[in-house]
Amino acid sequence: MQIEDKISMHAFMEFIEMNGHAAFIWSSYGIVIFVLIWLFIVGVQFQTKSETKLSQLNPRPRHRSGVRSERKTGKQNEA
Amino acid sequence: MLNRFANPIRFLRLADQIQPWAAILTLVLFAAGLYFALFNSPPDYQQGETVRIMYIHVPSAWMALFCYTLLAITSGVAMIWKHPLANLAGRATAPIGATFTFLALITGSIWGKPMWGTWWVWDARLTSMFILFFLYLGYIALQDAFDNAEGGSKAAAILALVGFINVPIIKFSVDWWNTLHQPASVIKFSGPAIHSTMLTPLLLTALAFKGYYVWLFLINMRGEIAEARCRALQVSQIQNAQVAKVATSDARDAHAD
Repeated sequence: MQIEDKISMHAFMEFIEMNGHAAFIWSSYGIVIFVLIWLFIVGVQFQTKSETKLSQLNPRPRHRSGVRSERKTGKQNEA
Repeated sequence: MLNRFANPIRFLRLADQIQPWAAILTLVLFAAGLYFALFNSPPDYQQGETVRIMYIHVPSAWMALFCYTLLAITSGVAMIWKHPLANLAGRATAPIGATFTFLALITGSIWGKPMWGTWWVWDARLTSMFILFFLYLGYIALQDAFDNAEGGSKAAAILALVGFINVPIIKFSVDWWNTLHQPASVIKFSGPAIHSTMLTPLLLTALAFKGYYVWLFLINMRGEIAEARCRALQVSQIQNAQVAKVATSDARDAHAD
């Protein structure tokens, strides 16, 4: 059991070390994941801020970007 | 087709349907891509374990070129047909493209150090990618550089169209000039020169990045459409206030007479 643990620990350490290139490989993956998550958060914040600003300027009941309310308005206009 | 989605309401309705699928696909493909890239692909016979950087570097570079091509197309459509959503699509794409270009440059530099012995060389491929990054930054800066929003959009669209010449230069730079960068090994006429065990994680990550683009593009488009409506409302409110002011002063003059 102890030998098996040592082997799996050794395999894990080998994987982390990436044959001496750990700093290059893990930093690349880390930067990509961090930057993509950051860009996504910025996008969601921009959307929320813009839609809040729009609902303050145009205080009508809105669904997300105003699809539902404008659909209703369109139908009312058609009627 | 283009006219059908010129209407922002119709576009948002379609975005509502696509967005959850784009999110699911991105997460599943990215998880699968990471699994194959890190756990289930062999080291390269020359580059060893560092080849794993390829699975994020190459898709980032592809996305940088893909986003710039879309930017040039939306700029052309905005200038020729005055499509109401084309400029907003360009605005929504530019930050994503700039980010992927930045990631391609950074991961390329990190990969270059153990392979070439240097972080950076001013050769054709690297320099043209660096120029692409500044073209993106120029496009983003020009959009909001003018008091008149239309003037900014037009200037940015011209820059995007002129800068498109850089895209084929990037693609063929490794064939036209001597460079440290390796030539194309996936997208070439004779077919991919890469083993399927390495091609699988590469394509999975590339598809995950495409899904990420669609997901974030739709989020950015919602924001851009709301911003455009805010601008239109503010303009109409100012115009109404000016009309009311003129009417009040006319009424006051008439009363004084």
